[in-house]
Amino acid sequence: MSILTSGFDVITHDPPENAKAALALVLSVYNPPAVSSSGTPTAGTIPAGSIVVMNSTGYAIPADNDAATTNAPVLMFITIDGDMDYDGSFVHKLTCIQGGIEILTPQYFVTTYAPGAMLTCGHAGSSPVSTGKFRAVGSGEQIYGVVGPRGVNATTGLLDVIIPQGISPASA
Amino acid sequence: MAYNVETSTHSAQFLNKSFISKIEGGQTKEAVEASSLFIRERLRQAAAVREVIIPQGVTEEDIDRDESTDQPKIIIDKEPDSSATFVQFQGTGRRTWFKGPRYSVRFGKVESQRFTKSKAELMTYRSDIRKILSDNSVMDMADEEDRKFYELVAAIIAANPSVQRTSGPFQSGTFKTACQAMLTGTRKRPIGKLLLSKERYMDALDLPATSVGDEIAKRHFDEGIEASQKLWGLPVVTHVKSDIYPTDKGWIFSPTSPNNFLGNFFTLQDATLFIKQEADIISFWTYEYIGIGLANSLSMQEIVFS
Repeated sequence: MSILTSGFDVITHDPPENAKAALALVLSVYNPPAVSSSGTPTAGTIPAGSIVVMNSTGYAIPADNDAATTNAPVLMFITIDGDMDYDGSFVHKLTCIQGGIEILTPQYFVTTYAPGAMLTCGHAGSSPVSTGKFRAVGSGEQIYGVVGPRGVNATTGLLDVIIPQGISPASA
Repeated sequence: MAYNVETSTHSAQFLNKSFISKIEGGQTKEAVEASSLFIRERLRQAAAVREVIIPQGVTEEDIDRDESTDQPKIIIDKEPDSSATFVQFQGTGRRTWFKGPRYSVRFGKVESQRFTKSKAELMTYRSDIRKILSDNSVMDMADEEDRKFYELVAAIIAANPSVQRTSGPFQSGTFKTACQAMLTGTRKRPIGKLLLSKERYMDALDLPATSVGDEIAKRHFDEGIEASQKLWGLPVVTHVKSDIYPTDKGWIFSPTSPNNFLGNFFTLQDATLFIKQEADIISFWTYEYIGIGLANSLSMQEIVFS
C-alpha cells in the first residue's frame, strides 16, 4: 500500500491559546433544542465549564455518574464554550477539552473543597442535581480533576480545578 | 466562490513555489494548466442556500449588542399584523397600539480543516495543491452552510407537516398542490424558488410532450435538462448534495427579494483563506462567520416525491 493512501492522519484540533497543552475537540450536542417558532435559535442547557461525555453515537451529553454510560472508566470532557451563548445556540456544537488544563468554574456541587481533593462528575440523583458538574469523588468512582491551589474562591464562588489528560482509574 | 486571503509576514514565500511564482509573474494560464494535472475525486458545489437566500454582508456597525454576552447577533424586525374595516361616515377604525415582533440572527464560525505540511513535502507536488485544497475547503464550508440550512428547514417542516408537506409523483399536479398550499387561506406566501437535487431534476426529462409541449420536450431531448432554468415557471436551484438534502424531496421557498418573505443569511466575515509559515511548516485554512435565520416559517413547502 502506498504511504500516500494509508489514511493515517493526526486530526487533533488546535488547543486554545490559554490551554496549549489541552487535547481539544468539537462535539455536537445530543438532541439540541429546535429553533423557536419566531426563527430565533434556542439556547441549549450546557454551560461552559461543565463536564460532558460522548454517547454511543459520538454526541455530547452532560456527564452523569448515575448513568451506566458515565460509569468508570469513561472519557470526560470540559466544555470551554457551552451551547447557551449565541454561537452555541446557533451551531449546537461544543468546544471541549479532555484534559491538560486548569480552569475556574462555577459548575460544581456546592460544598467545601480543599486543594488537592479529587473530583469526579456529578449525578442526577444528588440534591441539588449535579449532572455535568464537579463534585468530590466517592469510593470506586472515576477521578476527573483535582482541586487546584485556589480551592473555592469565597468571593467569586469559582472552583479551581486541574484536569490532567487521560482516563483515570476509579478511586480506591 | 471568491474568498479573501490573509497571510502572516513570511507566509507565501515557499508556498508551492511553482504555482505561486507563476501567479505572481502573471502566468495565470500556466498556473491553471499546472492545476489541471490534478485528478479530481468528486464534484463539489457552491452553497445552494446562497441561491435561495442571497447572502448579505454585514459589519460590526450592523451588530446588536447584549449586556449578557459579547457575541454578535442581529435583531430583525418582523412585519406587524394589521387590518382595515368598513365603517359608517361617522365611524372610525379600531385603534391599535402596534407592536412588531422581532427575531434574532446569531452567528457561528465555519472553518475548514487546518492543512499543515512541511516545505520539503510540499515541493514534491507539481500541481498547486494549496490552491486546490483551499478552493475545495470553501466548497466544504458551503456544504456546512447547506447542512445548517437544511437542519433549520427540516425542523420547521417537522413541526408542521400536515400543512407544509406535499407528497406525490414528479408531475405537475404535485407541484401545483404544493404551490397552492403556500397561497391558500391566511397563509398567503408568495412562490419564490424551488430547491431540488440534480438527480431529481432529471426526472423532468420524462415529462411527456403531451404534458410540457413539443418545444420543451424537444429542447430536453437536444440539450438536456440543464437547458431549462424553470419548472412550470418556478426558478429551480439544483444541487448535487445528496448527503445533505434528501433526493426524494424538494422545497419551494418564498422569495427574499424585493420583499423578504423568508429569512436572512448574513456574512459577518465571508470565506477567508489564512496562510502562515513557521520555520519550514506551512499551515493554511479557510474560515467564515455566518448567520442564517428563517423567520417566516410558513414560507416554505416541502415536496416528498413518491
